[in-house]
Parts: sequence; structure tokens; C-alpha cells
Amino acid sequence: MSRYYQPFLRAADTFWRMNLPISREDNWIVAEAMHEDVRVLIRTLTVANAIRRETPARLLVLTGTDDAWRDAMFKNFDQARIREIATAYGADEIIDVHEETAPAISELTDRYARATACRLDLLPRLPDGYDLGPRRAKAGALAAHYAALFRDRRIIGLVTSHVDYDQWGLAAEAAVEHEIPLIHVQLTGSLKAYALFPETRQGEPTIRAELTRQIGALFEQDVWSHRERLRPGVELVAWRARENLGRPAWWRAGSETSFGLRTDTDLRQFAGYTARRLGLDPNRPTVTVFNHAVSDALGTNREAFPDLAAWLEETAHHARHTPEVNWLFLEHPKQRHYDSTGHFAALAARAEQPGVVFRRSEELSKNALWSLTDLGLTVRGSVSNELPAFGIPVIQAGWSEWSGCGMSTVAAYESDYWKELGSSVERLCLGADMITAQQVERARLWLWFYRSAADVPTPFVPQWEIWPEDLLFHTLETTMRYVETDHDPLFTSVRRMWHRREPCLTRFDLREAGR
Amino acid sequence: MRHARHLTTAHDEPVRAGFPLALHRGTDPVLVVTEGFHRGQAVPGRCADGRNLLALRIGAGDRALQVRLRLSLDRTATDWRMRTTPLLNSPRVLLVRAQHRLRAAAVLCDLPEPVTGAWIRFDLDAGEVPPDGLLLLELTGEAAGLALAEIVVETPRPAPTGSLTIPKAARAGLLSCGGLAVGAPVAEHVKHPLLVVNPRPVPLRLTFDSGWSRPSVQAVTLPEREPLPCKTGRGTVKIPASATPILVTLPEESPLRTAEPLTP
Repeated sequence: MSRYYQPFLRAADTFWRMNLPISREDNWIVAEAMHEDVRVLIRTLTVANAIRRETPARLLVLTGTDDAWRDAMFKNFDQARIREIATAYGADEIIDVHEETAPAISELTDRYARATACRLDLLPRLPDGYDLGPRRAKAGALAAHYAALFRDRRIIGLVTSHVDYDQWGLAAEAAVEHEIPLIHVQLTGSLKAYALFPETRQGEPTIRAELTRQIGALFEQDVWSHRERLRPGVELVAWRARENLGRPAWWRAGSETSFGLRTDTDLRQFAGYTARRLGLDPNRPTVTVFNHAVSDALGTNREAFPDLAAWLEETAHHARHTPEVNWLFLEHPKQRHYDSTGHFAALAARAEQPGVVFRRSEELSKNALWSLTDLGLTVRGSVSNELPAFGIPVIQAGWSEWSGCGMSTVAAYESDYWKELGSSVERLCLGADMITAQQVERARLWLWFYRSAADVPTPFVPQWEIWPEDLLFHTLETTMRYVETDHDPLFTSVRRMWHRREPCLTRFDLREAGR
Repeated sequence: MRHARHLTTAHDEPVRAGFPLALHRGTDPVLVVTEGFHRGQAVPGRCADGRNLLALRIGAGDRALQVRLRLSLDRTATDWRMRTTPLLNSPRVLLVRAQHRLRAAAVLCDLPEPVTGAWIRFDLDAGEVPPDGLLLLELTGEAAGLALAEIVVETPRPAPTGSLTIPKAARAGLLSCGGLAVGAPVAEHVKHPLLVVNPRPVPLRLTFDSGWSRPSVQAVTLPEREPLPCKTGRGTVKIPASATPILVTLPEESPLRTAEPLTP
């Protein structure tokens, strides 16, 4: 146990006691605490408390886990400690949602049970004969818990770290069903959160799809329209992203993480070198297919294929019959945490042929990958914002956080995907320009938005990389002892998002800045 | 079609090139990209095992170029190799490519002492390095830990002629036979039965110490290792002109004395 833990608890207890208004009404805000990482817990509790300063409410914390979650991911889940921290952050009640309840089975719970079973057992999809019974019962029980909770109390908001899988996703669904604001904190950067308010819903089938649409609209109105003014900051973020500062995507490897190629000739030479190395034809364009963590949050946004594995399999089949371009299939660098079936290797064994190669992403440096790739394919991977920022076009076979921002070609249906892919391959072979200057600019604006405007630095939520626990607890204790709260960005940004019903936290008032 | 203009930002430093080039630091911006290769502070860097790529911006226009590399095999390199390949009694055979073509090779032996070096030298025709592009150097083979101590790129100098001692021939990049002791008053070559004779437009006559009659040697081309017949005379072997490096196995520890490029 960290020596800073108890001082942190004492400081938090004193701090929040003096910084929260007393709720005179029977309002509740719900904060989720079902992840073992204390950085996640700090984010949900802090945002919940910042909302309580705007709309006084009592704090209800949802916690607990089960054997399947513990075995698969949360081996260090410590409910006693979660309860201590939640109490220090002013929790009025703490509920273990995994306690036995009579299940309420529905189509929704079935969908969540399937996605959760895939994630916990590291499966791209459920095999025939898979016994979904226990997970289905658990999803039903969780749904019953959440339905009763959101029905019986006057809840003003749910703050959660996830909107996927049974224990989180069904709570988020219940909040949406009961027209309760949903705040989804992000596990990266300083303080980042998306919000879905009942007033702003547009009828998309999933929570993430709703957010995609709203983020796209905000981007258009408050970011793209001010691009001239933002350009200096955008260029700096683009430079930093290219040099792997500011934590861009993780598709990188090798001793060099910066990108040194500058001229068209450099690109051509390096692409030729890389193609030869991989056994590809240096005179053909190359399509790079970025595999996903195959069991990650299945079916949570609009997708063109039934699941992520189906997209990869179908694309590999297409590649085998499209010899006019090179095909490079890259495995996801963290796949071992998401697949226990060897899906990628098995597909490689079936589909590899001259001109169609399968590789681990660690085998290619950024210089190699960026020079070789003429077109990137993904469903929702971050390559679809990173590559266009540096002139590489991407087709997405589905929606993502940023897919409404106009930097990639987005195919929401399978037929659109094949049509876009076919015409892109044709144009590649003709040597046509594949990306517009506007798409590049939009992608760079997204990099800026993601790591600047939509990332709120506040000492009350240390940057995600402030770690290990000793450092985190000491930093928080110091903050709560010595930093006063007036106009701290935590509170001003939550206030702005909460009262204006905006879809994300912002570092500053984008509307005001745009005037 | 990809355009490099989309890769640049307003914060990029102007492109730097260096000609003539004598590179001693891995942090020099002229060394644009490396793969496998680990950049160094006091030397350009050290090799990883297997494949190493260095991309250098030369900016010499269309002219012909001469490239010279000095490889250094020290204790660090030996320790590094030992972690991956415990069989240190086998010599390291390295291949050097430029612009995708095999240009030279070297043989180096791991020894407890002293530090040994190998010299690589080859010419590039006018236009092989594009004026707005890169010199792509690849070092492959058993390179783990090997230091690349110097990279020189300049206008071609004529190849040495006449009968050369083995250290002189090795320094001129004509051949490589285990390495040269570095820092000793007289640069002794490490004697090893494996020898690389690098590409030349003329044959090379190797002369052995007296006492050898007709040395029985085996020669193969690199990298395919196809047998190459060599004429032997009394105490001499004539290695034919070749566009690729030739790996020569001598019957025992080589009592080589001189190497002489023959005029056509």
C-alpha cells in the first residue's frame, strides 16, 4: 500500500466536505466504480462531484465485480479500497451491483451478454455450442438492478468510465432509457469526458453512435469554422503527433518513433525499400488493413459488418482476388489481451499469397508504414484520424468518435464499403490523388481538438501518465491541501458542459473564442 | 498518389544535407531515418542483429559518389552478440547494400582483445542517389552490437594500385579477412581462414607466405554462394573480377602477405 494513500484519503475527505453544497432535495448522482484502476475511479468521482456543485445531489457509487471479470481483467480489484476512496470523495451510498438479483432477460441484455462473453473469454465471436447461460443471467440481473435504481430514485446523472459490456453498458442504457444525462469519462489524457443529454438525442441506435453524430456537429460548428484562427496551434499539435509526442496512436515500432521523410522522392524510395523487405511489389500501390482488438466493445457503434473479425475475413477474401495492389494486413499490437483463438494467424495461414501479407504491427516502423501505405482500412481505429493528418487516405467500415468530422471515407453499410474500396483501388492504380487538402486539415484539427480543446488540464485529475500510485496519491494530496478551487478548469469546464448540454468537456469556451 | 507536402508542418526545420559528408554522430540530422540501427552520440551508432537501415540525405546533385564506412568490433559488440549467439568462434559475415544493391561485404572475428575494425568502400554511379532523395545503406548479417564508427561520402578517389600489404588492402576496402587491430603501432590483420574480396572491375592476386605451393581455396559469390573457380599459382590465388563480393575459404589460418589489383 502506498505511504501516500492515507494522507490522500484524509486530504480528499476534508477537501470535498468543504467544496460540495448540501443537497436539500432527494437528488442523486450515480458514479460508477467497477474498474480496478484508481485513475479511473478518480475520474468518475471527481466529475460527479463537479456536477454536484452545479446541481446539488447525493452521491451513489456503484461498485462490485464477479469472478469472470476478476479472472479476465481485474485481478487486483479491491472493493474495500474503492469504498474508502468513494467515501473520502463524499459518497452517501455505495452499492455492489453484482449481488444476486432476479434477472430481467431481454433482447438488449442478450446483446450485452454476448459482447461481454466475447470480451471476457477473448473471442472474436461466440462459437457454436457456447454456453451463454451464466452471462445472460448476469446481464439480466444487472439490468434488473439498474432498472430499479433509475426508476425508484430521482437521479440527475450517471458518470461512468465505460458504456460497453454488461456491468457498465446496461447502466448507461438504463440512464438513457430513463432520460438521465450520461457522462462518459475517458481513460486517457488529462480530464476528458463525453456527455449524452436526453434533450440532445437524435435517435441513433447506440450511445456511441449518438456521440459520433453530436461530436461531428460540434466539430463542424466550433472547430472547423474557426480553422484559420486555430492553425498555429493545430500545426504544433500535428508536429508533436508526428514525433510521437502527446500520445498519438500506438501503431508504431522500432527504435525510431519520429518521421524523417520529407520529399516525394524520400517517400517513393522508402516505400520501395519496405515493399521489398515484405516481399511486395515495389511498383504497386499498397493497401494496409489495420486489424482491431477483435473482442473489443462489439456492436457499440454503427458498423458495416456483423463483427470486427468478419470485416477482416471478408477484406482478406477480397484482397486475394484483387492482385492489382499490394495488401498488408497488420495485427493489433495488444491483441493478446483480446483474442485467445489465434484468429489473425489462422486467417493469415488461409489467405496469405504473393501480394497479400500478414504481419505483426511491431515489425514495421512508422517510417516504413507511412511511406508504404497508399490507403488504410479500419473499422474504427485511431489510424483513421492519424493517417489522414499526414496525407494517407483511410476508409472506415463503420463509425468512430471522429467519423463525423470529415477526415476519412466512412462506409456505414457493407455495400458502401465494397463500393468505396473498389473505386479507391481503381484510382490508386491510376495514380490519382486520394485525399483532399481539406481532409488533411480536418484530421489535423481533430488531433488538436482531441488533445487540446477537449482535454481539460486540472490538478484535481492528474494526467493519465502521472503514475504509479505513490505519485498519483501524493500529487492529489498536495492539490487538495494547497490548491484553491475558484475557477479551476475542472469546475468551469463541467459547469459549461452541464448547463449548455454540450457533448464534451472543453478546455475553454469554444463558442466565445469563435466570436 | 501520395504527396510529401502533407507530411510537413509549419514547425519543420529546413531539410539538411551534407556533402562531402564525414558523419561521426548518430544525432546528426543528415542521418534522416534508421531502422534496426541504434543511433549513438560519439559514433553514428550500433547495429542490431539482422537488418539495419540508414537513410542519409547527401544533397550532392547528380554526381558519382564514393561511400566509406568504418566498422568497429569492440567488447560491447562481442557482449551484445553473446546474448543472442553464443557461438563466438564463428566469424561474422556482413553484407552492405546501397540503393538496394549489394556493394560490399566484410568478415569480422569476435576476439577478447583488441578492438578490430573493418573498412568498407564502394562507388555509386552518377544519379544513383537522387538529388532530392536519400542514400539508403543496409547492413545485414551477424551485426549485433557492431559499431559503425564513421560514414564518409565524397567524390570518388581512385582505387589503390600495385602490390598492397593486407592491412593496406583491408583499409582500402579491397578485402576483409577477420578485421584489423585498431590502435596498435602496426595494424595487424586478424588471421582467419575466411576472407571476403570485394567487387572490382579487375582481378585481384593474393600472395601467400613462401612455403605454400598451390593453395587450395574455395570461392563463392555473395549472397547466392555460387562456386567461383579461381586460378592458383605458386603461392598465389587469382580472384576474378566480380560485380559482387566473393567469399573465399582458405585451407588453414591464412598466411596472406599481399593483395594486388591486376591491370586488365
